[in-house]
Amino acid sequence: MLPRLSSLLVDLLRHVTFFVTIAEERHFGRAADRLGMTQPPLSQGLRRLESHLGARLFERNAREVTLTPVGQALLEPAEALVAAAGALRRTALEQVEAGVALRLGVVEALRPEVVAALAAAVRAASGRGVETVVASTVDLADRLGAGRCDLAVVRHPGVLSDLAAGPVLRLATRLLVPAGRAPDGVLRWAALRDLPLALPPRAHHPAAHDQLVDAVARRGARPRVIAAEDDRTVLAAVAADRAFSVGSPVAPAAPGVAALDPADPIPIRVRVVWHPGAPPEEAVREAVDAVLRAEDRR
Amino acid sequence: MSLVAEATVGIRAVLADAGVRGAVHARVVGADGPELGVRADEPVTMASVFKLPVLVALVRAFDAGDLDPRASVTVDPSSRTDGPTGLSVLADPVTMSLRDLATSMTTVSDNAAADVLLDVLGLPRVHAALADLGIRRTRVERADATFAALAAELGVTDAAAATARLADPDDPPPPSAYDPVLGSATTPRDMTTLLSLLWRDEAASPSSCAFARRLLGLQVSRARLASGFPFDEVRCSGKTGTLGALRNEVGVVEFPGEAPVAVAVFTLAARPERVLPGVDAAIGEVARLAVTALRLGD
Repeated sequence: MLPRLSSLLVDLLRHVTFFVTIAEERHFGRAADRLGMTQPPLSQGLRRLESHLGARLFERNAREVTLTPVGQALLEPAEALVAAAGALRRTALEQVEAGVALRLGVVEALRPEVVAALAAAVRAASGRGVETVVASTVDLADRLGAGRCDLAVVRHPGVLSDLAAGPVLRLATRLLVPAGRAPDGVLRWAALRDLPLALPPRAHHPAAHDQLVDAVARRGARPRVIAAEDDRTVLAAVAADRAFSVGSPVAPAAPGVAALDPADPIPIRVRVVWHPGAPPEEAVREAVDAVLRAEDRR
Repeated sequence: MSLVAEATVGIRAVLADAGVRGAVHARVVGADGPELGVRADEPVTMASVFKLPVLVALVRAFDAGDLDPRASVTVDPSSRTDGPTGLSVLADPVTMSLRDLATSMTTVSDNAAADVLLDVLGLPRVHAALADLGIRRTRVERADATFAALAAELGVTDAAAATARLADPDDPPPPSAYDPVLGSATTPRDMTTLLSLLWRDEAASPSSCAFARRLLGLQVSRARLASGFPFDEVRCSGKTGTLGALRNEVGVVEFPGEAPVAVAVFTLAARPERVLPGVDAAIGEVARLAVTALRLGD
C-alpha cells in the first residue's frame, strides 16, 4: 500500500526540484537553505519521489551525498523538467503583461512615420507595451466604447457618443492630381471637372468624409466619389489619370502624380479620444498631443 | 427578423450613415398601438420642439376659459426674444391675438411668439398640463432662457455668439453644451405620447385638438419628416427643433384610410455646419422606415 499512497502524495514538479537542488548542492542542509525550507520535509519529499520512481536517487552517508547510477541517469531529464516549468511561468507572465499593454488606435489618415512616433511616445510615457491597430473612426469609436481600445486618434468630425475627446488638429494635406492635368504644378479646378475623387470608403468616417467632399464642392468641383481602400490604390488611380485625391502628403514624388499645395488647403481633422471611465494617464495624453501637434497645420 | 426589428436595425444604420447620434420613437396612434424605438427613453434637448407642449397647454387654457384666444398682445421689437423667423425678425411693434401668435409659433417656429405665449401662460401651467396628460419626463423653458444657459456654458455673451461658437469646425463645443439639463428636455416616447393624445382628441377638447393639428399640418419646414413621404395624399404634420448640431422633428404621418403614426426623431450631428441637408433627409428616412414597419404590421 505504501508505494501507491506515496505516489498519490508526490508533487512531481516540487519533488523533482528538490532532487535537482540536492544534486547541485550535494548536501541536504544547503539544498534546504536554497529552497527556503527545513531539512525534514526536504528529506521526506525526496523519499516520496524515490518511492514514486521505484529507485534510490542518492547514496547518503554521514559526510556526503552522491548520486546513484539511476540518479545520474535521471538528472538531465529532471533539470529539463524544472527549466520547462520556469519557461511556462515566464510565458504566462509575459502574456499577462501583454494583456495590460496600452491599446492604441489610429486612422489611416496619419502618415506611417506619425503612427510609429505615436507608438514610441506612448511606450516611453507609459512604460507599458503598446498594441497599435489601424482602423476606421466608426470602428475605433466602437472599440473605445466596448473597452477594447484605450486611446485612439480618429477623424473629426465623427459620432463619439459619450467618449471624451481632446482638441481638434488639422493635418497637412496635399491635392494629388494626375501630372498631365497640372503640367506647371499649378492647381486648376476646371482641369479636374470630369475626374472622380478617390477617398477611403465613406463608411469609415461618414461625417468627416462628407465634410471633405463638401469642402471640395465649395471650391467649385462636385466630383463623383470613388472608394479607394488604401494610399497605394489612391496613388495608382491618380497616376493612371483615373482620379484625383485629397490626402496626407504621402509619396509626393510618385511618377505620374503631381502633389500640389493649394493656397487654401482642404484640412483633414483628427482628435484624440478615450473612454471617460478609463482615461489614459496624463503623461500618455501629453505625449500623444506632442506628436500630433507637430503635424498640426492650423 | 420581424418588420419592427428590421426597421430598428435600418434606423441605426441610417443614423450612423448620416453621422449623427439619434434617439427615435414611433407609435401607431391608439390606446395600445404597436411601437418601435432606438434610445426611446433617452433624455434629449428639445430646441424648438418645446413649442408643441406650449401649444397643447395654450389650447387647454382656451378650453378652460382661462385665456381668450382672441385676446390681443402687442409684441415690441425692443423686448422680444430673438430668432430667425416670424415676429422675431420684424422691424415694428405688432399686435396679434393669442391664437394667431400660436399660428406663428407653430408654423414658422417663431421664438418671439412662443415666449410671449409662455409669459401669458406661465411655465407652471404648461407643466401642470403635461403632468395631467401623463407626460412625466418633459420640462419646458423659455427660448431665451435656453439661449442664455447655452451662452453661459460656452462662455459667450449672446445667442449669435453661441451659434457661431457651435459652428466652429476646429473647436467643437464641450458635450455639455447640448446637455438636456440646459434647456427644454424630453424623451422621444414622451413626444409620441403627447402627439398620440392630440390625434385622439384626448389632449384637449376635440375642437382645440383639431386647431392644434391644423397648425402642425401647416408647418413650413418640409425638409425633415415630410421628406420621407413625397406622396401628395399623405399628410405630414410636425414641429421641428434646431440648435447648433441638434436637428429634431416630432410629428404625425397619416396615410389615407390608415391609423396615423406618431414619430419623434432627435439627432445630434458630428458636423457643426449650419446647413446639412443629408441629416434633414436622414430624419425623413428614419421616419419612413419606422412608419412603414408599423403600418405594414407584423
